[in-house]
Amino acid sequence: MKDLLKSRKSVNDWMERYGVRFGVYKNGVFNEQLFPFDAIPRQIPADEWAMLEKGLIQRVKALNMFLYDIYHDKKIVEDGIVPKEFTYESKGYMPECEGITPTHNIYAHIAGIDLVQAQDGRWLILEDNLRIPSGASYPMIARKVTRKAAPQAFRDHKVHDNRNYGEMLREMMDYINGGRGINVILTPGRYNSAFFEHSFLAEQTGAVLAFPGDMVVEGENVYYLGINGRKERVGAIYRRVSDEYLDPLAFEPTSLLGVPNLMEAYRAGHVGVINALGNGVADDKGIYYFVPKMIKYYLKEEPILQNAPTYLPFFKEDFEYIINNVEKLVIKDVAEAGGYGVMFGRDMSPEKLEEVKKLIIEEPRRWIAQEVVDFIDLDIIDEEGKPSPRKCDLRAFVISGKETKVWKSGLTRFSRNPNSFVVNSSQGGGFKDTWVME
Amino acid sequence: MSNILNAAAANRLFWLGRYAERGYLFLHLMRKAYDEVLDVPEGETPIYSEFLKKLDIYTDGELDTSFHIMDQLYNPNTPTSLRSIIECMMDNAIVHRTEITTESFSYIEICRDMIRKFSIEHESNITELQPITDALLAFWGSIGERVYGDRRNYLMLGKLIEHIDMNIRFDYKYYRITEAMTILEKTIADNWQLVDRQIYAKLLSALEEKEAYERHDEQLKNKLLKYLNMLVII
Repeated sequence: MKDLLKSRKSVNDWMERYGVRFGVYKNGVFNEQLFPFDAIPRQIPADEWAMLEKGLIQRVKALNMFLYDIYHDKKIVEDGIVPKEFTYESKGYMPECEGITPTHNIYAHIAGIDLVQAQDGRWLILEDNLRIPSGASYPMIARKVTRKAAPQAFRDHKVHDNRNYGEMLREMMDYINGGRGINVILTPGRYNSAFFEHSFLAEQTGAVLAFPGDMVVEGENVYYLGINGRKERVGAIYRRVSDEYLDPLAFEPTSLLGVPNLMEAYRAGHVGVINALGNGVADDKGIYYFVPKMIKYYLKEEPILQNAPTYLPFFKEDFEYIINNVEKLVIKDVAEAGGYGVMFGRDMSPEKLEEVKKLIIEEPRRWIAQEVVDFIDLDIIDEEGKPSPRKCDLRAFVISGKETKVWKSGLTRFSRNPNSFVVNSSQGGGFKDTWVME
Repeated sequence: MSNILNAAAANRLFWLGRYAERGYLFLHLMRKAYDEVLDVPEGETPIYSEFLKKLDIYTDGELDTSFHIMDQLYNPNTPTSLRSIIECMMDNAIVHRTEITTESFSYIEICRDMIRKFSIEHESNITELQPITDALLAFWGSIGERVYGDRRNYLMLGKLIEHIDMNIRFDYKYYRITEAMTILEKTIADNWQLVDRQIYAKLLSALEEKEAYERHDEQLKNKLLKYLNMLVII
């Protein structure tokens, strides 16, 4: 491990050299910055990982079944397991997707599940990201670099290789594609915050990186427009563009990022879209509360992984608890992501607490409240080169193709600020590699 | 991996090739001019003025050589500066990691990081910029090793056009131009759709005026540059 710590500077130099950056808009100005990397990896023992793997697969299978159900039979709502207020009134629900069956019934091909490990060792789910979860490219390229800069560390520790993420993605894309055409990764463009990832994953999967305007729909098929009038049929699109911008003729008419008439081709089953449209209904922070119930309902199994203790003001009993205990809870806006809309009651003034209570009373469906999970600290090497504890989470990536598999690694994010629980990169957090031990 | 590439991508690869070659030759020629300026009494700057003129860079009033050299190296707001060339190179490269590979891309990243760093430090000794030249040469080495087919052709086409353009501007020997033209012809042999054949014929015909070229005939030079820059139609 000493080898790894010594190589800290060299690893960061390599990351810079490979352009491992993410973009941030501040006051309307786009800036690219390095994603701070900490050389001390998070290590997950094999037995712990085996449990996580089973729990994550179980969760994603249930979420995929839920999405199919919501856009088809609606049994879970009819049976009163999930109230309609959390499905058909969710911002993420898309009526345009009603009755559409994506290829092989898979909705969440790539699920980014955020977890934390509590002080007692239990892993708790914090969030399900089923739309466009990002971040896998960072530990993948970090591993490539650290193996080069600190080979001894990998001689001394038996770690599952994580450089196969591109291959896992390609296998899944090929399965969804079914030989219909080429695989494409659709990016909104180089000024998207995750553009590094889009281009790196295109390279790793061998897919064509498509920009807005590079594809057309003709006769319910999607084509990539090549030079000199050449056209190539597209079989699968791993889109990194949000649902509402994907097709200006079906959704946001001013969008220049999408492919006009893409919905026609998608509805006809002539192209696979990864992840499927309409997934937002299942990764709504309000729906998160119901995932353990979904597991029981669809799979007839007990959930292997638990949620962080969560309350929904929508339910009377929870509402009262929240109003009486707001100062010790974390309040989250269900419509926000990336660490935005997260408020810690303990950090708020009495006036602010009253304001928040008022917001909850006015719009109970908009908020969830969670107990503050005192999750474990992991050491990072601070700016003075000394080990210093920080709050860390883990984003695990679950790939659903022919089989549902968990990538044996993940993005471990840490807060830069020693007093903060917010680890998102957009909030200044850094990342570590995640070692799954053999 | 699909080999399909669209017109915008081909165009950007072509320009990436041009900017990479422009950056390399700009530094090479700037070093030469910088060396020659050392022998000229202060205040007299015919060599440097000549260097600028060849690049179609015109200055107002009296030329403060050292200020101007700094400006041409580091000023991001001077479109002809090395800094601007490298930023343009990056703009074209960043969207083509897939086509040129992360390894090749890393050399462009090195150039940009270095020029930005030097711009802050304002290092006036041009020899300090040798790592940029090294990275540019490594970039082409990496392209030769890792990039094939059309992608390589578009890049090489840009490199060759820029190479010939700069050679003409700086009055390189006639045989250097014809040698580069032979390589250009081989590159476009399988890609005639990328060039305007009529313009190519005109370029070849103008190049037959060896004697005029050797006496640095301005009219011929302008004609050659015009045809050369109209040649590629992606």
